[in-house]
Amino acid sequence: MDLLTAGAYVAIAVLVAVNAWVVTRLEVDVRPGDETRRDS
Amino acid sequence: MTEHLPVMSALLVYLAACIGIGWYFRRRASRGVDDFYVARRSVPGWVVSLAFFSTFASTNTYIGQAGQAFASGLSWAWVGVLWTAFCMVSWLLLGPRLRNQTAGLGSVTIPDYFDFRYRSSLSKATRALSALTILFATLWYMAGIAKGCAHLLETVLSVPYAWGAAAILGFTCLYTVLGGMYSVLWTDAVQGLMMLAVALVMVAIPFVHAGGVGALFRKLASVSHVSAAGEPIGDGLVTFGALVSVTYILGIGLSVGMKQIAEPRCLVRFYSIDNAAGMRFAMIWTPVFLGVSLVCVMGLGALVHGMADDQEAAYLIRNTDEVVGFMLAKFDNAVVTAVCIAGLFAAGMSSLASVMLIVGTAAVGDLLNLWRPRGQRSTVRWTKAAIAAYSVLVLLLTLRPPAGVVELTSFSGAVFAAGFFPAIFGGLYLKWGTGHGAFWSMLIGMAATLLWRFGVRFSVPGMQDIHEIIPAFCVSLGAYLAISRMTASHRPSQEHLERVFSY
Repeated sequence: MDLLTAGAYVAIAVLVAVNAWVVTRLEVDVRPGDETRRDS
Repeated sequence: MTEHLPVMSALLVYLAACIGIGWYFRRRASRGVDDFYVARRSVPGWVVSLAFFSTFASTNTYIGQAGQAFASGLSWAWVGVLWTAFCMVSWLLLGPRLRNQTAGLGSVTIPDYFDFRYRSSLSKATRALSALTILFATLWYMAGIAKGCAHLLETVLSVPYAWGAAAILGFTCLYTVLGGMYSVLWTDAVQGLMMLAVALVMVAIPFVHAGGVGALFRKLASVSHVSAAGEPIGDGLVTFGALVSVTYILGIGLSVGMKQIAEPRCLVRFYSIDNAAGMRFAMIWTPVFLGVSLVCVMGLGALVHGMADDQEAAYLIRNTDEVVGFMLAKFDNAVVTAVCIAGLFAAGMSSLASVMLIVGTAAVGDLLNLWRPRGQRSTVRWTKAAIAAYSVLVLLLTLRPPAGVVELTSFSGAVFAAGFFPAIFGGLYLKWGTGHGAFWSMLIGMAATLLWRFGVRFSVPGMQDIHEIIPAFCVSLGAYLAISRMTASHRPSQEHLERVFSY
């Protein structure tokens, strides 16, 4: 397998690893589920 | 009959589990719109994560894309890189913001988000236009999946095509109508786990058949088969770009991958996550689930060359949708076939159920209720009826599918990406985005998609590999930005904007 073809598999592994690293450093804020209200 | 026993047993256990989940949630789902449409925004992150993965990946991925690698070689795995990247973008950029803004606005569908967020004289028109787009574009997608599953039943279990199509649509409709978003998400999670397991089993088959990793790659390094163009493949399977152009990889990677940032069936998943821990889990793990399955599936067809003789390869190169079926038949292990068939059905049904719910909510919540508002329970009842009626319509289309359903399916992804993404992204991030920008970018994006597809791509030499998604997306995004700037007087009140962006 040439390097560019193998690179696809490496790229997927690198992408998910970088994503996990970024998310662990992000502040994620989500309002609790039942508190929905209709403003419109 | 006895030779079908393992497959029949696996399918019956799987179908019983799906119906059981729907039955379990039937009362909760009928309480009102917040329950039936978005499961009261109270579903654990790991369930939504698996549901997002199983909704996005369908039989098209596990049969169509896996088989495509037979003609395109291992280079096809680069499509998987783009899909994984868009999965990350979707969860990082859209997930938390869309969850918070829609909860704050009381939005339960993508079309009503456009209405509540933009609040302009064109908001209702944008809502109706996006609902109509969903109803039209989804028809082809559902027919394509039902057709694939019905052919699978016909091939593996000798079930007549019409009965197979009726069964797949009937069972999926039943558990969707019973449990609404609750059963769609929980069955999707079960289906996601099955799909992950099946991806791992499927990729192992060519290696086991060849006698190991080294043995298979020695075969693939120089095969005697010929390409679709009739040229000897040689080392093309393992050489980047030898059998498929980079622009074609880019086109399919973008048009299908962008569904994750634009298609309502994917985006509405964000609405239902219960809390920040769940969101964080899903942001990390959804790209992992998708990435692992794509590593297994996207190059699978190329590996199957190691199982085919010259004559078989000459047939399969022109019929790549049959590559996975050929692989299972050649491997000839009843248990492995049963597990894989159940997994392939899971892939089809998870996507079908998600879009069934989306069309029901669009037809009733965003069209009928716009014309004549109904109460909560009445809206749920009408939505269930709309889902059942639409399923019958899909069945009729599946029984007499027009030519090129698969092509129309991929085309519908481009319609959503070009039509919906600018309005969603702008709504979430740009305070100065206007309802006029959203409405016109939607229309212009869809028109550009149609124009490129039917007026340029196959008519102008050299344009065939440039997918309509690329020009249409650029034009639509440009239109949103320009028209929003030009219609600043149509922005919602500052008070409304402050509230939306504080969510």
